[in-house]
Amino acid sequence: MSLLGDVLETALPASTSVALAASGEMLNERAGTLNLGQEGMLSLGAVAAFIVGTNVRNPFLALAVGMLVGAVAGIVFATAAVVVRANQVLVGLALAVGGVGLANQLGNGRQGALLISRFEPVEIPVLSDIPIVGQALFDQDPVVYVTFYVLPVVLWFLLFRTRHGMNLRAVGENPAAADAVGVNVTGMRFTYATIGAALSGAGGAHLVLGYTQNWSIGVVSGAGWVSLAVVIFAAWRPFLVVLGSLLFGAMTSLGFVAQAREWNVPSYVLAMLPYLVTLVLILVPAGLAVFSHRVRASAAPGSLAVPYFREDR
Amino acid sequence: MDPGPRAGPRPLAWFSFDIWRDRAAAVVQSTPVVHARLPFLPGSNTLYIGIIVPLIIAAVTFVVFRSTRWGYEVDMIGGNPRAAAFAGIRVTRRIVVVMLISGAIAGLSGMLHLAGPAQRLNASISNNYGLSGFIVAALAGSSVVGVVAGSIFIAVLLHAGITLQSDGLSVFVVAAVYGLVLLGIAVGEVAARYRVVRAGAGAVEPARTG
Repeated sequence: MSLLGDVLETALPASTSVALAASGEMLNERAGTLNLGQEGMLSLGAVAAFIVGTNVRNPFLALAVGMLVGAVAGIVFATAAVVVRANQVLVGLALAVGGVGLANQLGNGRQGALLISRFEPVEIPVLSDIPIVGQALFDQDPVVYVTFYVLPVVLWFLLFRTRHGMNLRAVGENPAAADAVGVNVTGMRFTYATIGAALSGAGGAHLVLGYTQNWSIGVVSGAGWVSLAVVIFAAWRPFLVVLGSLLFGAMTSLGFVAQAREWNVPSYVLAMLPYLVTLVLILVPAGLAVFSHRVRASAAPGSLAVPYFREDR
Repeated sequence: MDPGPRAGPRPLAWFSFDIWRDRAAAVVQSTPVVHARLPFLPGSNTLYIGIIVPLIIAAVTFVVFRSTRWGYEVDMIGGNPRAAAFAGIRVTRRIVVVMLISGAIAGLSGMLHLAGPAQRLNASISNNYGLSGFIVAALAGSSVVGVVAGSIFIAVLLHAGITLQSDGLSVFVVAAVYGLVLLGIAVGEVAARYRVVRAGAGAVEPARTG
């Protein structure tokens, strides 16, 4: 197979967890809450799906449980950060550290257990016959299809083509104005912090059920932090979020391909590659802004991570 | 809080697993013991002399922000970068210098850790200390005293965990408890902003000062 096809074939499943987590994070950041706990929610989703997946032969049930656990973590975050209005950075970091710890504790005795429910590739006829990339893009498991082909369209439509989406963005940009026209700021933020976290939980679940197909301590290994960077690089846009995640996956996959093809590069350098590329990409919007005044250096929602106190208006 | 074999900063993994690996001993995942060693504090056989360095840095930072023009300007940029720019402060230059200094301090702490307690370089040497530093900074707001107190608090928390491990508690439970305590602090911080006012003397009002 061609190099591009080889790289893409692993890149999609490898980056599905990042794409789901980043999509979820994009959604709740659009509503103005910054959840730094992605790493924790991915870990919790992963371990929950693993525990279910070793006992029940139904990957969709395991995925649903992973999502549910993510949503519960999201409710914890939203209660502290939106209802109590605590420092979002602190709450997020608490979730990141605590979530990883809790997940590892839950999975610790189960390392190496056989996963009996996995996501298997489903080939899409006709489309998978496209030369070079057909097999890579259209012979994947269903979660990959939903994440890369359905979710961004849905999110784009929700955010930019519905009144509800406009309200959601208004809550993130200027909650006082949204409040003035009758949008429920707390409710909106709470809902989307929970939905976002549920998507991260799904990401963790797919990581275990569809990509690594087993669980070990540290299986998430930074995907949550990368997803936070991807949201910034993608300028809070649904399609770019998915593309940015895919690029991260492609770099991961390039490492495997390079090993398989016996390129003479130290494997540690290849393992660094995805993170290096993320680091460089995060500079792209700022770099473009230097050359063109039509590009904003940061497209962050105006009230990102700022708690909303109605009395402050 | 060992994040496991796959995690850890990649360049560090590269150096300690590959380039600088200890090839003489059977220790695979770290470098040989470094020769540069810090002395102990006089009268102690557990505390390294390095512990003085953060205290000095904290004192210098305190003085700089309290009574120098440069510190005041940096403070002002943090408060309102546009206003600072209009006042003629070179915002970008100040920010870059501050970032260089903070990077240098972080690097220094790594050196102190290696030449003190760690002695060998391996991929998990940082043990989430960077993340903890982030947490301490968020906890302390912009108070230097808060940073020192917060660091000691977090260090006690992490080390209580190590002691508890010998009582059969896993390293992961310690991390989970650490997260739970942080969550409690974040919520408690909000609760602390409210004052109890006697009934009849008016409604309970939040006394937020920012």
